[in-house]
Amino acid sequence: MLTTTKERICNILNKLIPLFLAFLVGAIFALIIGFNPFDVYARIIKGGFFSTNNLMMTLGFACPIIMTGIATAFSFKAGVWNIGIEGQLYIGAYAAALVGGGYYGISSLGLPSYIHIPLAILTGALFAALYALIPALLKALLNVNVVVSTMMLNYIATGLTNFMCKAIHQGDQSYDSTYAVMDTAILPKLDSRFRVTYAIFIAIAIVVVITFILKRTKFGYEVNAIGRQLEFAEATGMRVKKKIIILFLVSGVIAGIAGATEVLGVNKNFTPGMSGDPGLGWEGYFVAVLANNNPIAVFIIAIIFGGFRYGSISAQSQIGMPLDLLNIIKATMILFYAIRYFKPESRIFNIFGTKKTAAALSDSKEEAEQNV
Amino acid sequence: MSAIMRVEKLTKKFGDFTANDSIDFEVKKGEIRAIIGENGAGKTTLMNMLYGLLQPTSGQIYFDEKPVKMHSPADAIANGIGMVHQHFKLSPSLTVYENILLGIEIKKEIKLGKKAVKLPIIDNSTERKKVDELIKKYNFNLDPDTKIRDLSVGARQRVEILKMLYRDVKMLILDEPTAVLIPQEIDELIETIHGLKRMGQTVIIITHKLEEVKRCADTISVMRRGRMIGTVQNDDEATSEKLAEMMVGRPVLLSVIKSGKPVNSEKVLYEVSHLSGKNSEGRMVVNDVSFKIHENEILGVAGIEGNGQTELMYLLTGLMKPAGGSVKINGQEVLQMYPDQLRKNGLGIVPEDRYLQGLCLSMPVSSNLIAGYHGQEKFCHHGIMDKKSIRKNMDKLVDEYDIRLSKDDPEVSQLSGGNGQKVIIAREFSSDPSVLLMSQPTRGVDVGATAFIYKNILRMRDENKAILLISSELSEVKSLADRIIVFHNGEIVGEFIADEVSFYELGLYMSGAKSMRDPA
Ligand SMILES: Nc1ncnc2c1ncn2[C@@H]1O[C@H](COP(=O)(O)OP(=O)(O)OP(=O)(O)O)[C@@H](O)[C@H]1O
Ligand SMILES: [Mg+2]
Repeated sequence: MLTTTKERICNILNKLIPLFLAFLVGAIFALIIGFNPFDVYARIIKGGFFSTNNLMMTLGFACPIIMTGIATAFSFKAGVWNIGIEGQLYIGAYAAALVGGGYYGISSLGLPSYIHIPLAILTGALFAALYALIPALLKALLNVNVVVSTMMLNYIATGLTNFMCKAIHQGDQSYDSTYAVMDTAILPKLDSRFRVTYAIFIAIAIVVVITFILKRTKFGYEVNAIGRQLEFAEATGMRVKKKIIILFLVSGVIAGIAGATEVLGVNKNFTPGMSGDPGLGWEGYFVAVLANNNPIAVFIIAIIFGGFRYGSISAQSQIGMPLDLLNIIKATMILFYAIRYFKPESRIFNIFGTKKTAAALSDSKEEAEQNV
Repeated sequence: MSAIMRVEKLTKKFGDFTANDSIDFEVKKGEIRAIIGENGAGKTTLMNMLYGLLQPTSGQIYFDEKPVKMHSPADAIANGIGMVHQHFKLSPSLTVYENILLGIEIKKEIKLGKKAVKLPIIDNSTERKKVDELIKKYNFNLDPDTKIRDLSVGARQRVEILKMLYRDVKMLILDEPTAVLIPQEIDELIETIHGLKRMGQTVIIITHKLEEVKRCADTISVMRRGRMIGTVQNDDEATSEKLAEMMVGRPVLLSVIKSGKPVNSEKVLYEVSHLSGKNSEGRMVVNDVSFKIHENEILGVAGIEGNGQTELMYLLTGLMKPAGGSVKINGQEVLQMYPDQLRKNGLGIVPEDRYLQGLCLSMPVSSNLIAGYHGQEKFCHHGIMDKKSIRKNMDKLVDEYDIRLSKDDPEVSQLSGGNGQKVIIAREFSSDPSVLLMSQPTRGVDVGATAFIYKNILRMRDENKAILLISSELSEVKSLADRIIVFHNGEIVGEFIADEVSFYELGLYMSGAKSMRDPA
């Protein structure tokens, strides 16, 4: 609950300072490897945002990150530390690639686009949700730590799809991949010149729906309570276990759609490295953390991240800047974000190593430990 | 005697809300000062400023005649001011002496020529000795080697006090120390406080129990709505009635007046039979408990805390798996139901631990006021929350139950302790349940509000409800209840008509000296 302007200003400053510090660290690394940081940043920002064409490319990169970010934030909101979005995305992408690629006799059915595309997306969503059901049941029935189970399932998902792609469903390319997606299953682009497909509307719809669920529904009310105070949620009769399962399923569906639309619209086949480095699931995790699990903030930050992704690609092609520089910046941003620099009640600049910062950190740690 | 601590024009604002308004106040060396005031009067806020937890918006604090500025509790302790909170900050797996020296451990030293060099190793025997000396000096009933988790609440509190004394504080602040204690521990605490005074300590104590104030304070300061109203000597003139009037600003009726409406013994509204429950270690903590509550009846549960009352409440409110038995509301079996289903079936629940189960601290008051009822048609249509009616519900209850808010719909964490409790009371009473289960309903609540809650409990009784009242305060149970059952070791060991039993008799059953179970 923000009310006073002072609190609001503190809040904005607390968001901007990590951004600034992260770019500072990035600048140091840029200098070390012999680039002018101003030049690099100017190119990234210009390449990512400064023209309609660039923005259209940026949106294309942002689209899956919006979805994985929302999938992560939705679980995190309830204190369920589901970091398995990456794995679920792989499963969803793979299932969609099989349907889209016409495997198992689907190619001979002669499906029209308006059936083939939704069928492929829904199959991806379904399989991803089923995959998400594994950690959900492990948590609900055996109280297995979610971080551990989802993390391991990520490795299993990438390994499994990699293996199946090589051993069973290898297509006609010289590299490991499935058969190309049939024309009837290709998710069209808004404009053939740019990366962004109609999936962006699905992403926006997801943002709207999830915002509505969290803000206005009974389910959202309960998710908020579960994430804040588990004992209270139980004492007021919210079926916590059931809710955790639903959360996993919804996150899985969204992750599956993200994977499916990437395959059907952008990549047009499944390849084992389709998610990039860091993977789209992890980008979503970064975004959710920075957005403090607020869906609207996820949407905005995901677009910024998409811009960075595209901008650094153009910086790479122009001056040979390594893409990893941006990953350093993103990772340090999260580190710096963990610190509360300003508090409304303190007059002085409250940075690094003061007792209050330490207290604030340990408080938030305690909060985290309370949760699932 | 001179003032050890003095504050001048001390003001604390939270946003636009003034919690402490230009307070002038002093405490003399070596006295016991009680601070009383309604819920939300600003007592905790004032003390938090003295202990460095909050920074004043304006004004000055003087300690030992020197102006002091404290940015943290560490600063306050360095200046000689200590405070013990209601929620203890001890490490359960460490011993008493380890907890007391936490953060200021004594290191082993070795002599290298003439220089003593500190090693990064804790000198346990010296630590132990020092703490033991301190315990002896203040005559505290504690063993330095006990682990905290094996101590009673009262003993833990003494450890917290020792922690402050070890750090050489000259003034000790206790914020509602008795709220968590059983009557016998309260006696011990008051004894401890008198002992501290004899050793030259200055003590500030906050409590809502005027009877405790009368027993331990030298002087009494009264706060009302952020202002310091005045300080009086604790003499015969300072009667409970007069103090209550100073706090509230108008006369308060302190005694409980029953209507005399008879219990309707024809109609059983709530029936518990052969209820048992095991805790996580497999011990039977509620053992074959049976009782009935009739229409127009309040059944009181007396007992020393930790004898199964907490678990009984868990069983009855669907938070613990029963080992057997049955519970019926109006003839309908409700034993395995979830808390929201129970509420739907006409049960009102005031849980014992308000900050764990009763309230969600980081959610706004309006959301807390519907919790447990949030799925009912009144607040929710087809899974969508009705914002308007939630808002209206809050406005109505805040007004009706006099919940003091510092701004529009704040988070519950920003409410004073007593006002938090009022949120629960308002929520559960306003749902018009047919059976009401309450545990410690007036803990931390001021005299005025306590009287208000009592009045409402009695009103509900007269409106054909059945009420279960669990309280560690024997006088509360005895003055409100029609019938009393006594808990000991998870069993009912006695049952009495409230008006026909003495405190002494109840005490015998509570302590286990007498029992109806085995008349040996
Ligand atoms: N962090 C905060 N933000 C906003 N308002 C606050 C905050 N802390 C306290 N308040 C408000 O300041 C007022 C005084 O609170 P305080 O806790 O000092 O009362 P109290 O006298 O200790 O009451 P109680 O007897 O119920 O414990 C209350 O109205 C409370 O709502
Ligand atoms: Mg208080």
